[in-house]
Amino acid sequence: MEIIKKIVQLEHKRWIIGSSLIALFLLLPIIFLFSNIFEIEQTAFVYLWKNLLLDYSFNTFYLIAITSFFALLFGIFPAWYVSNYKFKFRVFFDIALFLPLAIPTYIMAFTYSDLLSYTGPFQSFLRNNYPDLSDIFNKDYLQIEILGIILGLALYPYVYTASRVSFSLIGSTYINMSKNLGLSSTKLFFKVIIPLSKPAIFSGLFLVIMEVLNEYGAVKYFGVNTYTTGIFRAWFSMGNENTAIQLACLLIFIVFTILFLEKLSHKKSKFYYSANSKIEKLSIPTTDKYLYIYSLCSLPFLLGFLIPFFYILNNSILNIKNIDFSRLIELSLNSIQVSTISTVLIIVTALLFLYVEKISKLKFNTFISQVTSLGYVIPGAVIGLGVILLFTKIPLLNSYSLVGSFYVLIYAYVFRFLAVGKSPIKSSLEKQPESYDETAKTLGLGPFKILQRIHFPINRLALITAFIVTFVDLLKELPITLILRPFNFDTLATQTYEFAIEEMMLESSSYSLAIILIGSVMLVFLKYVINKQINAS
Amino acid sequence: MKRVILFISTILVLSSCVETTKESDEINLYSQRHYKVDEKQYEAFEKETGIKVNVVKANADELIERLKNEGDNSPADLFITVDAGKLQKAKDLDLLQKISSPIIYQNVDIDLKDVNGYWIPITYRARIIVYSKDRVDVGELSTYANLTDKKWKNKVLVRSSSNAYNQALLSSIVANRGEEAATNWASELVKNFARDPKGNDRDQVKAITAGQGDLAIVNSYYIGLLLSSENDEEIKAGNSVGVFFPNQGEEESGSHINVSGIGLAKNAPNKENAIKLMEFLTSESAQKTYTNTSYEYPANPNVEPNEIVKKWGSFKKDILDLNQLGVFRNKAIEIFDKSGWK
Amino acid sequence: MHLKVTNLVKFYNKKEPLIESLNFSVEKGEIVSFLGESGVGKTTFLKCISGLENINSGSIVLNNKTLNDKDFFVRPQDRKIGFVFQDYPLFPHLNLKDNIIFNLDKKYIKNLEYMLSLTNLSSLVDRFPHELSGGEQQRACIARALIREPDLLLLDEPFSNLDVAIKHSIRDEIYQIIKTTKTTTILVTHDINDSLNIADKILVFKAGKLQQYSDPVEMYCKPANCYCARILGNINKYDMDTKPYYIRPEKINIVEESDIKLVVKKSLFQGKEYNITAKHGQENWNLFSSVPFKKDEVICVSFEKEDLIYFPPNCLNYF
Repeated sequence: MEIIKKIVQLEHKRWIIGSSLIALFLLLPIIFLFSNIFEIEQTAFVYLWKNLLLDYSFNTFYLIAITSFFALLFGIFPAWYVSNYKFKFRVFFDIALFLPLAIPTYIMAFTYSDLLSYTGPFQSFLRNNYPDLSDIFNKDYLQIEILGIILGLALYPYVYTASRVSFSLIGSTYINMSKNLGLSSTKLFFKVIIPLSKPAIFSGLFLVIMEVLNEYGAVKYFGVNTYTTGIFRAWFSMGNENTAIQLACLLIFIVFTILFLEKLSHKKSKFYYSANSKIEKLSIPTTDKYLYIYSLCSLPFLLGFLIPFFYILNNSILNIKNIDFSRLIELSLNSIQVSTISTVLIIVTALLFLYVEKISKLKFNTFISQVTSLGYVIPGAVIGLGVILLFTKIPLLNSYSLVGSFYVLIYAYVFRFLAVGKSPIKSSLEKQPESYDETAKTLGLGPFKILQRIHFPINRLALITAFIVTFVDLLKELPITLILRPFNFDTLATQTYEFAIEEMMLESSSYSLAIILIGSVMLVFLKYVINKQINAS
Repeated sequence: MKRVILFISTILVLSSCVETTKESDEINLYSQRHYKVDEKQYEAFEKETGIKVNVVKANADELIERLKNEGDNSPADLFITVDAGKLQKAKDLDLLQKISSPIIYQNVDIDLKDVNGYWIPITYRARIIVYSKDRVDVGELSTYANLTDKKWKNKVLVRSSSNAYNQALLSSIVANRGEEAATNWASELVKNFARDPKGNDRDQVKAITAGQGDLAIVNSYYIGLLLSSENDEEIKAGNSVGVFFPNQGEEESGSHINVSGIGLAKNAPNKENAIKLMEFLTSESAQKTYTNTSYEYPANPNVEPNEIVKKWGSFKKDILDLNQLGVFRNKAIEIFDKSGWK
Repeated sequence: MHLKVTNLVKFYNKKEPLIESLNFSVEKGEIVSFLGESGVGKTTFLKCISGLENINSGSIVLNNKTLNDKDFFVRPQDRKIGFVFQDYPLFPHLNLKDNIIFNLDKKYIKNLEYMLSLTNLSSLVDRFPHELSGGEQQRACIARALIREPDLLLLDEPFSNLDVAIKHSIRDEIYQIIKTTKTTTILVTHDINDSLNIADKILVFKAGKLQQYSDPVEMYCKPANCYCARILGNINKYDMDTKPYYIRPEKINIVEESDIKLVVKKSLFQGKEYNITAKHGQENWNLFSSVPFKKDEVICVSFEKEDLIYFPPNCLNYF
């Protein structure tokens, strides 16, 4: 009774109840999945422990370590140079370094393995022209280390963007002060800039780690058994749902541990830098510094975008007579349409959760908002199956054959990618002072009007950022689409994947090229928006 | 609030635009096959009969999950796989029904079909041994079991154990020779691996060409695909290896084969159309298309295999009931895990 | 009575109420200064009046309409109260004019020209908030509040974010604006000079309670307790008949000869006069003089008996 009375008294009860119901609706598949199968079966766990767990754990962590190392290497240094130094093509690099995000990781992996394979152009060229050298490079390139580098190349833009924004906002005050205290530019970077940017860099790295944990296509191709491939194997090949759920739990547990460790280290160093102290004057690098700048800025772009892009472009041109353009256009429209609808829904849902969190100021709403972000750490295929179970096992839902409809596909997308859309909006909302809401209230606006007339326009750039980031991610999405898509429905991603796993690189090239081009256009626009944000604050 | 409702309804309208419209003359496939040849076949079928073919393509296991959970409401008419084991699994889960069509049974090879008539084959493929023409004397090759011989140490290439083709191969060994023999075979073979299992079948062939190993276990049609590639280097790679059908001796079981087949879904809403499609796909003209495009062996004995495939000669097939491939699937995966075959 | 606050109680934590039983009323057109140290709950008080916070008990009545009591709560958007926040929150996506007419009822749009000229912003209407100075931003916030003819205007520390150099002129401007529009205003501040210069009445708030509520002159001359006395200016302690009395510095005259002798410690030139700090026994005294004195010089002073104010002995320690 007490609780009901309290709820009735709450100021924004309609908002709170509404958003809670939506959160519950989103979480249903996962709740259903875990409650349904969480009867721990000893034998499954013993089997897992005995035969696989050690190998899976080692591979997962080793791959995360390598990928993280290269993502940091490719992300942080260029971000610092672009933020702090004046050099030719600086603006170009600022955009170019962002672009690998447009290439799905599995395409990157397939492309490089094809490129480096014995019959690929690299080794063939050496064999035909420099037979002596060819033996040195005749290696097995399908190694976990190579995979780590490839994933690092595909994912470093997350680190780059986060560091770039942070470096730009740290500002001249700290830099000037440190120079005044006699720090060399190297020392300045490692002793002041990096420690101050730790939270931002980590937030980028966290996304990288999530992507690695969720990676399936590339990891499987390289024969590296991680938790995610383990989940697939246990569930699909062996029909052992228990083992799959146990592995999924382990995966979620690891993610929470990482988040917890980050919070712990974060607590000691809560940084605040005033917004108006951004870097105003770019430094002029010394002559030998140019070498570092150009090599460290062009390497990630070259390997992460230009080479795969031109290889795929070249394949498309070679295959041009076989390209079915009407199908290409159809699939592009499919991809764009389904991504757009889902992204809009994701943004609206994310904004709703964050706004209710802001106005209600209840711990409960913060909790709800965080739990709904969980979708991002759960492998897409697990979500897909949870959704299937939900819509087929519950009698009420079962009577409409919803599985295989767009509603269910989009529903799964929303749950999976909510966190992606949320993070830019969240950081932007946090920056707005409370008095905006209060003033608007005293000027006669209700909560919905405040959202519509104040937060919508004020956070416009963040909303655009969230839209593009989510859109590009959805464009690349594979496992959920594969499991839940309706009849005759292909996206660019599914078509690319189907050709690629059959090793038809030429046929797949035009579709992957379309993904990359659409993604790149969006990302270039996003970069423009982000730079506007950096300059505006 | 009005705006919210308006917005949501806009979304719903938008999304219903992309919904497939229901037609009466249609047929719904859940298919693991996603080769270009399949699209060609369905187009030809549509032209001939006016029946529209709708396809969802995904992994067989995921499709089985979907079929299982959809139950009576499933829209699927046919379930198409590239592995008899999966068809058996679906049959075992009571997801299929008996197919009764004299035409189909006239069309297909009697050895390949399901004894109970729950599924039919459309093509078959052999899991063969390819060897480096330069470094291996073909006289030294004999059986799958022979691959565990010490002379092949660091010479054998094969893909990961999570691959269905390998699972089927080991299942057949369990079925033919028992669990113990299969376990021994797998653990001994792992010792002869030239490298950790990775990549796909084509990569194993390329690895032979690159000198990383001498022998590989692959599916037959991949060699056909390599030899017909548009990349000269791939043709070279295909030519550098020889094809060997193992287990051909009189006492032996024959080379392991597997089918790509079709099951009729238990609650198929368009059963008649579904049977028409099966009849079409097993017909001589469609079978020719299969073998000439994907280099698989036709399930229809009246159709000759493609020229490239024919050159490898005929071989003795393992006549094991292919349902056994599904029965021993989990056992095979356990053996893989225990033997350290990644 | 225009605004009547009765027995207002507000707490976040029941054991430490921020406001315990506040009673006061404001007449139409008055400017009331709510004076208190930082952290005492001044902003919370304004939020209660404006409806951004619900009160725990008591009642608020404005213009004969109950805004908030134990079973009635008027939402902030329906209260007709203007609130100008400390950080001048103009919406960054709107220009000055759009900020002022934000969500404005059509019937008030006619006030725009007048409001702009009153606040001297007419030439800046197209500018965006980040292109305005602090004073301009603040005037814009006031214009935005006043254009909708509120029954009550609330100002939260309106001068604390301004440079000292321009603070005085802005204070005068705002005083003029409020008086011209005859708007009933409550201004919250921690600075006594703001209160004295702008307010018709001062409300001194301390430890969750109203200490004194009266016009500045009365408060200066007849403080309700020594906290109020102290807050409005220096007082010097004088023991007479073993009872503590207090006297304001300007009531003390320097004379040739008297019983009360002081030892000068410091003479500080302040333009018109010197501010003298001197020792009377153990107590430090302040007084004014037209001439300076040297350190340790002894001077004699006198004052009228009726200017002495009596407070109980423990008064100064009480707070």
